[in-house]
Amino acid sequence: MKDEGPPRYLKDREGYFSGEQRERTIKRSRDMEKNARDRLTSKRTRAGRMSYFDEVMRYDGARSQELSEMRERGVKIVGTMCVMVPIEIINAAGAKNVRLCSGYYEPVHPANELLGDAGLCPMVKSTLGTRMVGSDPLTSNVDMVVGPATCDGKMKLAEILEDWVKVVMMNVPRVKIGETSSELWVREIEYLVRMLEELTGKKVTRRSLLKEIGKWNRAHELWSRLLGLRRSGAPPISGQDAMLVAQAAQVDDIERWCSKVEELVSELEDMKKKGRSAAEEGAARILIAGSPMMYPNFKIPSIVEESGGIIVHDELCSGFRIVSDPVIPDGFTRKALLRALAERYFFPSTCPCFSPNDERLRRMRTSIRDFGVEGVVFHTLRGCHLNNLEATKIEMDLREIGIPMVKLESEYDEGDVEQVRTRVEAFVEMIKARRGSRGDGA
Amino acid sequence: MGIDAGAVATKLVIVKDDMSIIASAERATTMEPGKLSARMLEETIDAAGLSRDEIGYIVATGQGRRSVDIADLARTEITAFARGAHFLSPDSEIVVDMGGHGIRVMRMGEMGIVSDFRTNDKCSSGTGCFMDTMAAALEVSIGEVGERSLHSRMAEHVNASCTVFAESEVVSLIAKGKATDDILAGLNSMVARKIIALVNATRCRGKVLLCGGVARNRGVINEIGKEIDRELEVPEEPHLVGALGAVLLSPRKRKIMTEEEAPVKAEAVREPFLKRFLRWSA
Repeated sequence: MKDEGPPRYLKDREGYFSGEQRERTIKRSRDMEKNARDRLTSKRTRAGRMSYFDEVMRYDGARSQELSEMRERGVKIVGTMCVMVPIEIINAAGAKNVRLCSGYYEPVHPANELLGDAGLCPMVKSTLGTRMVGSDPLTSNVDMVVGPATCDGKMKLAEILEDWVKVVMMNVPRVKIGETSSELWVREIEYLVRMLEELTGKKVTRRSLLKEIGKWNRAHELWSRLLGLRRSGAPPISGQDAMLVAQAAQVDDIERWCSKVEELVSELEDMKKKGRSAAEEGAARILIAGSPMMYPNFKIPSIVEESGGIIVHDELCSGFRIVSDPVIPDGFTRKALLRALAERYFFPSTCPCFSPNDERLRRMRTSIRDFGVEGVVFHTLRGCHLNNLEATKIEMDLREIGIPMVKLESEYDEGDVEQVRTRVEAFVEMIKARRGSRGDGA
Repeated sequence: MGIDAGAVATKLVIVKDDMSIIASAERATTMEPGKLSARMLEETIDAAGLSRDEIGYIVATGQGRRSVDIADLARTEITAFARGAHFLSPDSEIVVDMGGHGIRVMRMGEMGIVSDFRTNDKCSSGTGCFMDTMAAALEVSIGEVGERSLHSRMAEHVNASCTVFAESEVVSLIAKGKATDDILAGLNSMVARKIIALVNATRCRGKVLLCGGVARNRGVINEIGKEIDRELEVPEEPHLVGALGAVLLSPRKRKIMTEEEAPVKAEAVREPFLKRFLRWSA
């Protein structure tokens, strides 16, 4: 530890938490993840190939061990805190990427001890708590963290994490149409490239960028095929499983992920032909929107899919948006590639931290039409002001096209499961009843 | 038959094929809603001189609906209240269920189908148990709250809406020597404000039907009536609306709801209810 430097949040962080507390956090995290996994695997109709993704996302699973072995060999691991970090560049610099956003409930408590129980975002607190007590080997083994300053929670989280690890904060231009936005973001991407090159000692070249962009564009292509299976008829994959697959892309080696998704997609295509569906007969087709739901915090999607709904699409940064858009370069110089990457990670982002955010409404309308969506479940985490603020606008917009929306606020604990369940069940009953009355009326 | 296993009280309604009410009952919900509803069923049919065989389809609703094992079907209270309310007052556009643990505001679409709903989130403010807590602090029985608040000449103002803070505010008002009736009136107007805010959130100007246990509190109804600026209706026994709606969700009763087919018949079966559920306007 340096003698001088910026003021620290946790000066005496060594020994701040007892070993017992660490053990308890680890045990509860492990139990929670096991419960979440059991819930997913206990489904009657589930593709066998999903087990690979269970393993990637498992607490202290194979990927986690693989990454810590790599790190021992000297490979640098870079943590990302948001979908706005271009993963291609991290890999082009010879480092590996890991998404840090945590979906574990237990680490919220150590973060509460530090920050007080203010109405803060539980995902931010959980991510911080995980790092404070070192309860997750996957996210503790990082050499650098890249934190785009999107919402207030993420920005301050990145700042606090500087106590433990080097943080590269990226200045995200939050006014999307501003004259300088595009230029500023490209400069920020160039800054990230410099910081990564400094970390790994390798140059980000035209060639390495092209290779990584190729891999991710392939991932996007496969992801689109998977999405296509959910567009109409009875989807062979549940929304939870699809979200798990997408989240695995931010942890796994992307080439291996692609080959596994390819196998999964062909299995799913086969299931669809045979009429095997992850949804029950006549399930309500739901789109999930709002705050991210990181595995194993699959509380809301699991309630939706247990109450007679099927999630056919989402617009979450913890799901669809991870692999949603391809990088389209208009030239093959290093500069043109970086610019194309900057555009891919900036303009399609429909995070509510941006204004104006009409892109979000437009994209939502398109996916509602394309995926035959009957209702929208809008989820906000407690303290997610941006999503809370935008919810009303979205509800009004959806009302115009006759799509109902229910807004649910949740925390990182199991306490509100039954309350949420009642509302989701009523929502599904309402959708099904509307369906009947429309059919009769026509 | 319909059972509404609510958070605070369990309500039961037995209805004939022509939709006239044979018997109804209400008990405080226990830890075992399943056992309680079975016992209530026994007691009610005994008192009414019926036999178990005469009871046809049973639909359960309310927060304890899944524990009611005598039921053939379970539906959420939101759907049930909307259905019951639509039966009683088809021209109401907004239905408010003021329950023990939850306030639910439903916007009605065609044929008693909910088109939108809002609920109090995780907050007990303005619910039945909020009133219970306040009545206990004031040593007033819950049944008297509405009546006594009507005697108030100058209502006290209660600012806090959190149950815990409001209780301490009430205690400090008592300490200041304020009259119980005035404090009760202040509480009722606070509850009314809470409910009006939820109703306004639907952005709908149509007629409002108030039901649920809290709708038995005349003080709250009066306050809502003064402020809401919409047409208002309250059935005579508002707490039974959920159980009644549950009955209407049974497959045999469902066709009564299709008014396009038989408007005359629908009016005829509604008739006995209107005698029982007197219309009350503020």
